[in-house]
Amino acid sequence: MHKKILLILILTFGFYSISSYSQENITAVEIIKKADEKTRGKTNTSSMEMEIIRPTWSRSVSMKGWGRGMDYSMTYITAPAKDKGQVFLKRKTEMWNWIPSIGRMIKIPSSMMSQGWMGSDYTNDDILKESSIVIDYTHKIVAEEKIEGFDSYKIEMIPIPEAAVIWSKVYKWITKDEYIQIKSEYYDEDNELIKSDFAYDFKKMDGRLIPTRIEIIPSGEEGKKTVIRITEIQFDIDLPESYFSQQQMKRIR
Amino acid sequence: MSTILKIAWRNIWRNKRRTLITVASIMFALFFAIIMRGFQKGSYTKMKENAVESYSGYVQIQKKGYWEDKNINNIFSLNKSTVDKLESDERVNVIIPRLESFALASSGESTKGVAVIGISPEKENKMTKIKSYLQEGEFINSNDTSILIAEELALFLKVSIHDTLVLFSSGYHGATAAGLYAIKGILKLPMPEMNRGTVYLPLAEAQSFFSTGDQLTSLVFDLKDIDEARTVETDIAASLDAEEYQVMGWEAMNKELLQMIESDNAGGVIMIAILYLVIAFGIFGTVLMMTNERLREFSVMIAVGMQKSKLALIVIIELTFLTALAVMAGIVISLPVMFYFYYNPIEFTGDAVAAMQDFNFEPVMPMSMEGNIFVFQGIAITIISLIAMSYPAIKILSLDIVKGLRS
Repeated sequence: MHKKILLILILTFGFYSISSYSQENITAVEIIKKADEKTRGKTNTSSMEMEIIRPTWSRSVSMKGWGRGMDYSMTYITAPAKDKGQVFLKRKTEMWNWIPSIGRMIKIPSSMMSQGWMGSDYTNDDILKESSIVIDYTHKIVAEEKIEGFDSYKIEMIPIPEAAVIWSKVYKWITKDEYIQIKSEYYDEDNELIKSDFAYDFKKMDGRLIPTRIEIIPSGEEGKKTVIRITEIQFDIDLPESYFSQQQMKRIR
Repeated sequence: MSTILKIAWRNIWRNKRRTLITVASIMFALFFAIIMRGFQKGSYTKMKENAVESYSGYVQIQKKGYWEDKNINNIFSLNKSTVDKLESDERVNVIIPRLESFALASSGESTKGVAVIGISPEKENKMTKIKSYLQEGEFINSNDTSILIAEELALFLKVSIHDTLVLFSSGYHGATAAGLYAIKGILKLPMPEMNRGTVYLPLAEAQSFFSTGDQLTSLVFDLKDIDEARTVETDIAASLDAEEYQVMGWEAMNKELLQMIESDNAGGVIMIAILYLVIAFGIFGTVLMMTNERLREFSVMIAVGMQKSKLALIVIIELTFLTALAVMAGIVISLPVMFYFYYNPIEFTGDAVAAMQDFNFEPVMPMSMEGNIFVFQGIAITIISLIAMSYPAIKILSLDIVKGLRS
């Protein structure tokens, strides 16, 4: 009898401890999904400014963007004048670039994947592999830390063996209350930090609290960073998949 | 003394056949050595000239660090008064501004990575004679928005004049560089590597293509005399801020070429050395035979009262005459051949052309008329003769007359 009670006690406490963890903290994958959905919505349209900062110069690029889930996005460059009119289209694992001044549609080849997009620290690969943060990794909450005053989960993401991922490990810090990706770190196969990104200036935009400034800092290269500012964003508007087409690229203004 | 000279001269012609054979052997050896070196030096000079005059120039001003990292962000501008001052130097022919980078050139389905060179057309022509390479179409002028394209590149992209070429690249500070350009002319460039992938734009157009403003990648100096390149280089370097600019001489810019020439030259020197070894033994053999044949004669001379040292002197003078004769003959017979090839360089045909172009050589074999060639070959032969001469001299000085008379 005593034994039975003990067993029940152990089982209940054991269960309780597990369930308390999952009640208070949802699983790592869900956190990642929530955080991603948070800034992306089902669909979105936005205006952004990107500032590329180098030790001796800097340059800024303005753009408009449209997105549908993780798989479809289109970006139209509005400034500087030289780049104005260029359109980038991402459809799943393919990326296209429309350059009106030469009337050419260029498919970004895999050899250019590791190159910075528009000369920034944001690589073409980063853009194409957005969806992979959920499917290509196993996620684990490894710690709970305070980042810039926000209680956050530290999530370790290890790529699954067959995934075509260049990182050996990614850490993401996501705030507990609002599910905002506040910081990320990307490591290469030698476990060296290659780059980090940080989110700042949380603002309510179209009903959601999101970071409106993201800084990408490649490590070991002093004076280099890329700052992206979201000036306007709307979520869950009507954007069918057919909108993300090459025909639309040429029409878009 | 004049008697000794007279005796020596007569002695040579006492045995005409022996003399002629000796002279002929040295003469032909010299002839081949000179012709071989002439072609070698000629092609080296041609290669250097090609490299310097068709591209690098004698001295260049660049942004510090540009040579190590030829990046469109490593560019500079220099105000006009400084450039004018540099150009007023009487050692300088012309200063050519350039803006170069790389781009993808595309037409229809074919695309190729090319060097894009923004030039000031008239100035460029002063040094590189680029106009003379024009095969088809017209030369560009400085406010054109059309381009010149290298011949093999045109073939590869299947374009001809008045066709449109797409250029696509990354400009200054990451700006997009994309443009459509009409082909105004097709150039057959002498350097095969350039002939396979070069596009020339007017400088202003290149600056707007790469969004660089009035900046340049290099200021190229054409000098009147190659020997002044070093002093001009140091003078320019002294007048500019070393933190900002770097000044490079043609030797530093064509290091690979010079190294290649050096290693090829070493091969040539070995060939010459082997040739001379053969000549040396030939000469020595003749001298040896001559000495032994004439031992009796020498002994008689000494026996009737000739001083040994005088006799040795006569023999030495004889050999000097012989050598001088042979060297002169060698030079005389090689001169017309050299002149001929100097004005009519050998042009390769057939498969050799492709093979040489792969090695980035122009498929011609020019002749060098450098005086050095004659001097060096003359000196080499003289040294060999001197060594050979010591044999009869020593033999005479230590001659046992009695033995000699009996031989």
